[in-house]
Amino acid sequence: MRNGLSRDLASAPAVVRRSPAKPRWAFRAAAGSSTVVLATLVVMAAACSSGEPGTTLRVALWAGGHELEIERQVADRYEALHPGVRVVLESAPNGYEERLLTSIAAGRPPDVYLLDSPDIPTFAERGLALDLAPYREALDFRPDSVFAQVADAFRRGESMFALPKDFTPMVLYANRGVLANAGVEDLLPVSPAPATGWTWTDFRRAAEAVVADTDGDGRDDVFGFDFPRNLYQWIPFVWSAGGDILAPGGSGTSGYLDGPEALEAYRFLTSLAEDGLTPGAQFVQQGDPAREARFASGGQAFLLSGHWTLPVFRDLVAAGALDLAIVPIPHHPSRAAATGVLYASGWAVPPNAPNLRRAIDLAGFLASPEAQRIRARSGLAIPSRMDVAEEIAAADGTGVEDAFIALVEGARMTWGARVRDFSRIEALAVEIMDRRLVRGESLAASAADVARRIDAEFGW
Amino acid sequence: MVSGVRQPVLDSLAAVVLAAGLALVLVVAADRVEGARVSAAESEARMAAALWELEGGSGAAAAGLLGERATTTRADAGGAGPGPGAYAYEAGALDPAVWIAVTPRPADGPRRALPITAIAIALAGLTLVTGWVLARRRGPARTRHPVGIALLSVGCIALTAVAAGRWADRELRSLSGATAVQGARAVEIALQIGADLAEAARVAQLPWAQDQSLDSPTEQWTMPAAVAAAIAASPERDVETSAGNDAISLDAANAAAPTTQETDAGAPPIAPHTVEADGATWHVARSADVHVAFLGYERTASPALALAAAGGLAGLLVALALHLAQLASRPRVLGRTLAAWGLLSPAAALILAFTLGPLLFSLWISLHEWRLIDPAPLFLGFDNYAALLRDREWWSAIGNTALFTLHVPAAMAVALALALLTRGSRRALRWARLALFLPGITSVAAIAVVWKWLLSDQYGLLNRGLERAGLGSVPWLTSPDTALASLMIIGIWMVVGYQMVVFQAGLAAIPRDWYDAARVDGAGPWQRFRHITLPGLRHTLFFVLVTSIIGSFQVFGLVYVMTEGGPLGATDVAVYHIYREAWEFLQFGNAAAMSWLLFVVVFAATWLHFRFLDARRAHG
Repeated sequence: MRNGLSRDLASAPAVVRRSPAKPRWAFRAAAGSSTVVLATLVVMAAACSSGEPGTTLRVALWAGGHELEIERQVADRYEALHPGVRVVLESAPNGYEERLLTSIAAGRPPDVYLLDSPDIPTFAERGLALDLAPYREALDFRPDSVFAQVADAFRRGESMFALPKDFTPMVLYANRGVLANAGVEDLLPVSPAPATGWTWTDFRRAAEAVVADTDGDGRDDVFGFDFPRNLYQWIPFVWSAGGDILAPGGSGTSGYLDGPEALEAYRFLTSLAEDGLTPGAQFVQQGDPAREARFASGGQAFLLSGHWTLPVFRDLVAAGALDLAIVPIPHHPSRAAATGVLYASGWAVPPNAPNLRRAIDLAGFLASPEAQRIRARSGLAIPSRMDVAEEIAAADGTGVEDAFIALVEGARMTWGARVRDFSRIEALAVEIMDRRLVRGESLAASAADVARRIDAEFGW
Repeated sequence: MVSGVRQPVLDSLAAVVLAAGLALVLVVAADRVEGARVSAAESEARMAAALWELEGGSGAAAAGLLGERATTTRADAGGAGPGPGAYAYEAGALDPAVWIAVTPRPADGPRRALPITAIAIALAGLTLVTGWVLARRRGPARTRHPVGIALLSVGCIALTAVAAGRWADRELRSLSGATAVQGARAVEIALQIGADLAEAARVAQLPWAQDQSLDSPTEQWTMPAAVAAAIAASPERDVETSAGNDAISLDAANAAAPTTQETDAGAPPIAPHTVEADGATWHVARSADVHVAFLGYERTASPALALAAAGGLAGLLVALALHLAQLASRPRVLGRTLAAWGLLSPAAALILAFTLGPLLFSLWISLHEWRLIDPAPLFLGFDNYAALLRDREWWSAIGNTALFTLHVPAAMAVALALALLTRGSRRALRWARLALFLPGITSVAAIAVVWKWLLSDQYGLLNRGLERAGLGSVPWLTSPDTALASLMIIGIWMVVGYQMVVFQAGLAAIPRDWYDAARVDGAGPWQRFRHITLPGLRHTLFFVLVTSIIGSFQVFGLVYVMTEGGPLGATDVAVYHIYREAWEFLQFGNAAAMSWLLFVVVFAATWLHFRFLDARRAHG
């Protein structure tokens, strides 16, 4: 068929931007140069094989290193189940958005692609993701088998624009050893959920207690935390103070981003940096590149991150070199509990995929329990299916997976899954606390200024 | 060798090239309209396939939508043919059951099938030029007016392109309305065969919305909120039947699907209307409770850019042919010209395809709003440029770039000093030159990562050294006051090796005699440097200055890896700003406009340097 479908399904021009700071890059951080070589070989193989008979399905994803090897195992399994079908993984751990968008603009989209939660509004509104709801039964996909917030992220009314792959909440990793050395281990919540009684006050006390200059050079070398500069990191603190950054419909920031609860959260977080409980802030998206190493080596008590960081610590935990606890985001003392944030990804199919049913079938398989079980070996995220996630948690002797799952309840999906151009809001919102830490400006004034600029830019 | 008999041949060539150029323009327009017809047929085929699946494979509903224009064949008995069509699947099957081929909708009569006005203009122009060719064959060449003929030819091509474009636009609008109507018809048929509203709406295979949802456009998904709001506010919203505002489209649609009238006997024809939303015209048709909205082919398949390119190319070739015709009386010049063009053509083709083409495309994009996955750019004129003039962040980035460029003279001074110090053939000097040159050939990303660690506040070697020396640490990359300066220092470190090598080449070109004579005259080292070395290096200095400034205006890698433009925009330089605008915020129109403004700034700086040098030469 000629490639007229994408044009037909296209919607009106609207603002679309990529999200700059997402946990996704953290997934990608695991990818090394070998991945690039492997991905190149895969792409070359795909290019060379274009003339071969049989059905070839191209899958775009951002896996790298070990994760890509595991995705290959999933693809191999599909090929084994469907003789004559070849699955080519086109992975781009770096520059995924550029490659995906370019392939779509060039009229040669992949058959199946990985859709990140902040991309859902853009792709679904422009008709670039097929509504998979009519195929639910054929794919044996039941939305109620998936964590509710994750299923909702990809759903609009009756439509379903991607089949959930996996997800993660943002949690606090706690180094019990560091806390025990400072004698404040008992401040940690006993169980990760419900996240009650673990307040900002407790968190700050614990963070203060661990700060120390262990080598006597006049500089502190153990810290409580590292400054969460990006919106995707600090938004649960705003929620856990009872506030939000956007109006309920997602159409306005004034009164929210600069609201009293949000200001409380900014004040709390900046005070951690200003009072020396964190190392100096790094004004880049990735934040402090040494944070994970510092945490693992006992130089930091708390680390704010997602499930993707867990594989980094697994060996240390197994070797007894790291006593790890997963705890929730602390909440404001006036609130009863914290509200965490979730980030998810799903398998989407472009409406003009050349082998549409095969592509839908492959997407279904990639989201299936079997694929999720294989994928869980990477340990980078929580499987979207509740039964698989529980199986994995049951098999995990450390209790860490249980802790993660316990934190899903009471967490919200990122606003990016609902609000188009959320990356622009993220890019501007990062200024609020930067201006305080760099120039000493008033948080209220900078938050009001940023909210005004966002509203003006979005026409709210 | 070229002989005199080529005069009429070359004259005729001009006419032939003109004919070919005019034909190219007409073919471009006709091809685009034909492409849209095929796309429309594919849309209809998908609707038919969806109906086929909904109905469980009887094919009656598909026939009801398309009549004799649809042909259904089993997928395992030939499958997809060369024309437009779509596969339909049985429930749960992964392999298609049937291929529904659809004949593209015919144009409504011969007048609408051809760009008559454009053809008339083309024929008139061709006749005039052919007349000129014939007259030239009979009379002396000097009595003719090739410039006038050239202008006539180019004007004829331009008028033809405009007329063909207008025709294509009308055709595409007509097709768009008809496609929306077919979507609404498909919905109607789906409802008749028992589908619920959501299923029926999906059959339309176009962006859609249920009527009741239009009242809360924020809840809409597949249809942009602005479009749903525009439909809700449209006076035609509640008009299910009317004469229609595009009678031709409607007639064409009705004529193409006679059986629809039978399945829906007594029902009035569906009338499309248009709404303006998000800077585009949407074709809307309503059936039952479903509005089908379709972004027209006049946006998604507009031949404007292709016509401009084809017209420009045709005009260029005609001008070239006429130029050759003028040279026919001078065979030696003609021979040399042809040989030169022949030799240049491969390089010219490459430049045209990979340099000039993308440049012109970026210029075109800069006049539009385009986000890469938009179906078609929205023409804005010079709005992007006007907005940039008021964009404080952009001018801040330009200011930072200009500040960063100040490292160039400092780097040149250091490089010149090093060039003088490391001159010679001793082994130690050779190693020193190699060491100094290495940063210039090392990956910028690798350099940036290493420097980022060296300059780290907490763990950086530099700060540890400073602290040991009792000087206190410096926030190299985390303070707006120092971040750009830090990048400038790294910039100097990166370029001095290369500049040093260039300076040494320049120094080698200065005759030793001059230095010997100066020594004999009693000139000291400073006087020799001031009066011999510097003037002798003038051209080298100018070359290094201009290329380094251009290079520094394009700084990207260091910023991308080390600071991401921060803190608080202190290192946000022009190219990084452009990158973010394009790939992070998908504002490709803005980014292209920024690129052109940056080009103007760099060009102006280079031009001023040249002017300065010329003035110095004249003065000297």
